[in-house]
Amino acid sequence: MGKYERLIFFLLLAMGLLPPLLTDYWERVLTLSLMLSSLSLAQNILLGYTGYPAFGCVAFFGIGGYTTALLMKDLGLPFWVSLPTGGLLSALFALLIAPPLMRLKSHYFAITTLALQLALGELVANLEFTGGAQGINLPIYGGPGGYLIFFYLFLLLTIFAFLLNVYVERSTFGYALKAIREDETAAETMGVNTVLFKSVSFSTMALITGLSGGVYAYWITYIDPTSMFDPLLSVKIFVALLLGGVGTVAGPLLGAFTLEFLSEVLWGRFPKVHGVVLGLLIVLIVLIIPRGIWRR
Amino acid sequence: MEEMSLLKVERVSKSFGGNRVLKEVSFTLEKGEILGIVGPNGSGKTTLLNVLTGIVRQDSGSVVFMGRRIDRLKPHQRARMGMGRTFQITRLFSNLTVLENVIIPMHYGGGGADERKAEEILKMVGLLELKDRKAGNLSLAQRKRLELARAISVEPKVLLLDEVFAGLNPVSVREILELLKKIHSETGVAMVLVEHVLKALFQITKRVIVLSEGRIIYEGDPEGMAKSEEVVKAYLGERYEAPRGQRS
Repeated sequence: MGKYERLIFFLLLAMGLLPPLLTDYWERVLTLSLMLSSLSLAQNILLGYTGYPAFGCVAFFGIGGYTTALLMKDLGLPFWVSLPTGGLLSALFALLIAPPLMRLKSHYFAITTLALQLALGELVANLEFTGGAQGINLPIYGGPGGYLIFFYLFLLLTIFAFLLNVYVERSTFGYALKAIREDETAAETMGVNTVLFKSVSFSTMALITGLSGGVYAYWITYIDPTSMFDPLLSVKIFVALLLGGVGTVAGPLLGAFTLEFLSEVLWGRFPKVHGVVLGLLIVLIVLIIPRGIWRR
Repeated sequence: MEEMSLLKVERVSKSFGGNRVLKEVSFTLEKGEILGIVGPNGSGKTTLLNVLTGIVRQDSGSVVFMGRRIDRLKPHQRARMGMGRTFQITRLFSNLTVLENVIIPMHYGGGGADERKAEEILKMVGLLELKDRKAGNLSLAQRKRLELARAISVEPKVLLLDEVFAGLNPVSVREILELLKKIHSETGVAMVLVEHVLKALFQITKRVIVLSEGRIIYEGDPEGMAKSEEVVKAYLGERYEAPRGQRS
């Protein structure tokens, strides 16, 4: 780990000491920021390092969330079993569809993943065992720590995703991904098994995104297709990533926290037009620093 | 017993839609040999290299490399078998450093990443001082050198070079030529040079193949090439003789 990476790592650890100082409101804002951080860091492995924009990555958020919810509600499994199962199922699904899906590149790939997300949302809305459009109620967490547990779960997930990003940044595994991002044909001709590495990258993104969806589902205790396959969440992930700096380990974190805080502050200040103000701010930031706050 | 050829291409054909780009192309390449492939634009030279490296799969015919049919192997598997390649329009990893550009093929295509060995290769092509610079910031001549460095870093048995001299000034052409000779004498690697700059090509190869409209129309030494009716026809068109009485 480099100097900055170590600093960020310790800052994340130190965040764990914050909750006693926080009001419920700020605890919620921080929890949301951490959720967005984990999702942006996940997407960063795929878009930032491998060059594939999965605009419909929330499909995996939904798979993770729904699997966790169904396992807990229908099979009565504990959260600690359901959550990893949701994450793994999401990763496995990604691994299976990656070889054909990732023959597509750039915007074709982006749009196809978005179609996947919307199609899955429709499917879930029309199946009986998923609760259809009415969604699912999850049991309410009543264990030790209360709702603070979700703050810590998202923090852990963010640290995990951050460490994976550091690994990609610094390892030969990451070299393969970066080679694919720079020039896939050249990478293949230089001996990189591009199909394998692309698939692993996609699947890693799906794992973190799926886990995030699972924690979110248990946190808000009620999920439906609209909230779990929400295209606006995809937009938010991409805005956070572009704002912070794609293809860097610090960028996704900076972007996620900046975006979440800005949107909270503006929401308080301009209750009626906060969306407009936020949009204008994002346009301004992108114009002034097109490569993000943290540059590659 | 006759020694096995390093590379044997037999009756390879390839069409893109209705356009037959390669028509029953056959040739062999011996160990350590340098072969030139020339031909007018659109004659199928780059497609032939793409078939050899596996980027494009032929419709029929076979490619045998080191005694093994490689038709079904993916490009990365062929790279690991010992095929190094450069591209006509350079395809570097632009946002990575010069050193990283060599380390990646070493790790995935060659015998393993080794920074010291990578630096040796960079020294050989004259880019060692620029090793920490981003590849995207290099000049064209430097980019061509880096492509060469990357191709030899997989410890190839054959180097497939797609127009390494294109776009270079005469000084750079001479430098790259010397570099190729040096690589050949030090490693004994076989080379296939797809080339338009004939003057440079003829200084390094003893055998050329001329492709025209996907067909081999000449195979032999460079001297004989200029005398071949077919080659002259492919480049300049049919011989035209003005009818008697119209000559001035």
